[in-house]
Amino acid sequence: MTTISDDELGERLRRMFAADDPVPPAAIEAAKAAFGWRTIDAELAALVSDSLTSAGAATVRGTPPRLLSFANGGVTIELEVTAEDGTARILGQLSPAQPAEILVEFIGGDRTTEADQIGRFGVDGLPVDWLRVVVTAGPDRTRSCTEWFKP
Amino acid sequence: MSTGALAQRTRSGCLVSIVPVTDFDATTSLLAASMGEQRAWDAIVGQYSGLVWAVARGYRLAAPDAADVFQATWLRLVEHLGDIRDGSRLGAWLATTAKHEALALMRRNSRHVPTADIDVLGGGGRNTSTSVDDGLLRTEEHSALWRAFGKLSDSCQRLLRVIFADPAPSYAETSAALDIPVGSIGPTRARCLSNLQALLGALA
Repeated sequence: MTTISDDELGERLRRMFAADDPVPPAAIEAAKAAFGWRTIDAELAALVSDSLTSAGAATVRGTPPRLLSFANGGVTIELEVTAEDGTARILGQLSPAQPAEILVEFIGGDRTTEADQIGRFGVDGLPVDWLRVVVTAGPDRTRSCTEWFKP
Repeated sequence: MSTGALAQRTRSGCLVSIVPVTDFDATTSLLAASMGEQRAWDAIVGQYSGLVWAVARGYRLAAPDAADVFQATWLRLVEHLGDIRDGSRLGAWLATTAKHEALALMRRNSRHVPTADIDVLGGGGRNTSTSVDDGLLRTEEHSALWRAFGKLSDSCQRLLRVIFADPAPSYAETSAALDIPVGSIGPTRARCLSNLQALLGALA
């Protein structure tokens, strides 16, 4: 057998990956389109806890609801997310508790609802895909937007 | 630098051709994108798609799952566009984010399947199901190399995927993608390539 140099072997690998496993053009187009989801007037509420990353979650049989908590300086958005039979359902709680306009966005559409006086809301029939929740609340109509999450 | 020039270059030669690193300025592109310039964003996507894809594929994710990780990584960058000022850190940030998203996807997957299947999905494991590698074109020209590559350890496959992504990532980006110190990239690369040589010889 003939051995080739490491550099030559590396070049063969580079050519192989480029020829046989290029980034799919549809994925590139989706990545470019992701720029359209830029929010200018909403403050990001970052993920602060996720039941999926706590120990033991993966060993529970069945699919228990996933608990996600997002927060920024003004509001905490707690979500219970359930995926069943191809659709997702969100139950939410705002704190401080307050009424608010709720927008749930996903790739290809959105849904609106309202949080009640004690900050509760719910939306079902959502796609099991990337979702985020935009909350508009308070006298200044401050907008907060969760990071994207997937049920 | 005009972002228009970047965009044209991206449109004409995106990804497969080697975009000279010196012609892409990450800091300028980040700034322009954070001000709403779609063409600057497209240039960033063009520059780093190969790296992000390589990280996702390095976890031996099937094509639909790799595409999901890829999309998630770019959604995260849109969210955090204003937070990254230093363009020299952008590639490492994307590599780290892609790695986190790959691990998050494997956690989600393991949650939605019976526990018996978790070993197959969790991190590529030892049991490689055929579906894990699907989506590859596997041309005849490279079939022997693919076979040898597939027999490498998970860590070597991940490393070689990233190192030989196109365009070639920097040491800082490679280090972020693989969680290994910059100083051990060279020796690990040499060891993995040597293992690959041996496997190729054995299969010949």
